[in-house]
Amino acid sequence: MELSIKHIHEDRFNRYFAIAIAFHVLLVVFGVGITKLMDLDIFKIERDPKNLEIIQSSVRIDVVAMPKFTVQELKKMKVTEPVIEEKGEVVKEKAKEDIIKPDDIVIEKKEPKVDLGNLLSNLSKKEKKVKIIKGKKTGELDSKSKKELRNLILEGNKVSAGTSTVGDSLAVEKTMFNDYVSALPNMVRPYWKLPSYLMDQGLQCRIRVFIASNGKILNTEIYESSGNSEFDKKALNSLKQVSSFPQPKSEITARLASGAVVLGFPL
Amino acid sequence: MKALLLTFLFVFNLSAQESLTVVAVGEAEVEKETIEFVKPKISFKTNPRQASEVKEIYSIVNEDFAFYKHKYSLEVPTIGNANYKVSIIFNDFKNVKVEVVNTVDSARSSSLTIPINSKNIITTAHNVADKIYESMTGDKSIFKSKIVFVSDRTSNGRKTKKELYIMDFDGRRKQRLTYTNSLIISPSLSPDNTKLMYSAIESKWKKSSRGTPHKVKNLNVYIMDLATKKTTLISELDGMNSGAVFSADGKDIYLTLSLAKNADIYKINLATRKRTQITTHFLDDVDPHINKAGDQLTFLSGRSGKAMIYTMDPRGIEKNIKRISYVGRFNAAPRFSPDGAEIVFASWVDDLFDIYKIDSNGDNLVRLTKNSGSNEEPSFSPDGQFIVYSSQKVISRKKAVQNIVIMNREGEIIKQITDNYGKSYTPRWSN
Repeated sequence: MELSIKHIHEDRFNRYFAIAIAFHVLLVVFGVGITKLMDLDIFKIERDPKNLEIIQSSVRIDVVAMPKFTVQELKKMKVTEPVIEEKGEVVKEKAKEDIIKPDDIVIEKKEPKVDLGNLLSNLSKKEKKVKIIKGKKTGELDSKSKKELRNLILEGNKVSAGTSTVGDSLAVEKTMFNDYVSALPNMVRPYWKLPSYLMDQGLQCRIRVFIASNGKILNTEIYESSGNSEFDKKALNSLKQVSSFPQPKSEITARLASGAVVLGFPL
Repeated sequence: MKALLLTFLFVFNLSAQESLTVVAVGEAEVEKETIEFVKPKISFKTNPRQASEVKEIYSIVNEDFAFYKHKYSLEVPTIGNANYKVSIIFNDFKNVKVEVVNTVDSARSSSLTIPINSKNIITTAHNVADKIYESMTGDKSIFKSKIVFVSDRTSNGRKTKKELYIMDFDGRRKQRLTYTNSLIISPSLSPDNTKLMYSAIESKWKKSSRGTPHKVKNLNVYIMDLATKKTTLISELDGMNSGAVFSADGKDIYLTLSLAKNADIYKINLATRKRTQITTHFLDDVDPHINKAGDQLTFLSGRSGKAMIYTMDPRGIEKNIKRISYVGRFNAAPRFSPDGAEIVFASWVDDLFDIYKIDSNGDNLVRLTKNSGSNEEPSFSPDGQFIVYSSQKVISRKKAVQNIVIMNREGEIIKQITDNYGKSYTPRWSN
């Protein structure tokens, strides 16, 4: 009697144990399967059919005192010291070369209209102007306040800005790519201009950019038109004027060249 | 097992698919367009007066457009065409014909006819400029707007008097409105610009606790009908009745009353004179201004210990109070932009007032004026592109001038529109 009871008990235990294990395994399999499906299939497709990923600067504002500089002053600084926020060393060097270009163009634009009589004096004036700017850069401001200033100009009066990386991948390549890509708007913005009648209409266009391994823009194509050809033209034009971005690191060149970047004007 | 495999395959497939990254470039900057105003064409025999008036119309139109220098350049480009070519044509002295040719997009060209008011050539000129601007942008310009302000120019040596005046947006045609012989402060125009509300300091007889009558000064609120110049007393409660502004529909007013010892903001219905208390804090709340939508009120409050700017929902009592400014030693006179998205105000910095702008939700605090005296009392233009304010400059230890200046919303100074017209205070732009 005792034995048979024991036997029955053992038998039952084994059977239920097996069922429990099978049940748990199935539960895990289903759980994983369903979440994967939900996460990668249903949800993503609902959000963005083409697997788009949007990068926007996340902004924190710390106001500690009334702003010292006026909007006009900040604007002037923007002209003399265009801004590039970069982390990669290679990129930084290249970026500095690029800064000089827009600088020159802006100064040339500000030159008074052609006047034979003033041509010579204008030339000398131009030289002086450049000198003054340089003086401003080196003198007066110490490096700390300069850095603060740079940040100020960068994002208006936003004191600190970071990039929110989308997704959970910790791959270095991905952050590298995001760093590179999030620096692009600052280079395009100086050339992104619209006549007033096109401004407050809520137009938006997106342009796909193919970037060569040396940073040059290989090709641009309208990814999403605004519906207004002039608006699209102005957006394309701003990229034409940039012509070249900083040289990307070799890990991300393939992605950039395949046109993985879409620039949103304005979003 | 099969299902699992399929899922994995699908996932792999998805990640292998090309992924695109969208980066926002942000809002564009304004690119200036060029306008060429062709010299006026006259194709009828003019008398000398008409000839000079044609010239005047032409120059006023040019001066008006110079206000929008952040949008338009009036310098004729040396290479190529201007974006707009504007011809002003006089076939007779009844109408002005205007041809606006858009050289970039001919579909946006237009031709206009504006009647000439021979009795008032300045009105005609502003009308012409307004119609041209409207044809270019589809928006209303500021060219027909007015500015109300207070000046002490009638003061004599002993007594300071402050009276109300009205002028064109560009400072032309100044006109006196009140003859009160007292001190007038905080003017405010009704939404339809037909009524003007203000506070005047007046003496009134009051019985003291012992029963003997004596004179006390009181700040009372009046409304003037601008067409008939008739004034109506609105509020003469004991203490402060001031800083009154009209509600968006013009049926109510919001003002500061000091009924409960400290100053609070009240609403008074103009038809029923029913009074509702809006703020109840034991520290002072003053200087209300309401947005066009009527759902947000901004005011100055000492509830944090310093004079700071707050917003609230004026449809309730102490409803949705939100502090907007956190910095500055003393902030004053907050005013909404016409779209309600921004607030301009003055703040005390380095022993002077300067003008700052902030989003109505408290973001994007920027400075607009600097190194140009003490600047206060800002007020937005009806199109939201300009801000008028009063600017005080100290000339010597005993002398200071206070003039009214217009800048654009980015702080670029456009024009000083009063010069030595007494000391001019509290400019308020019409709606």
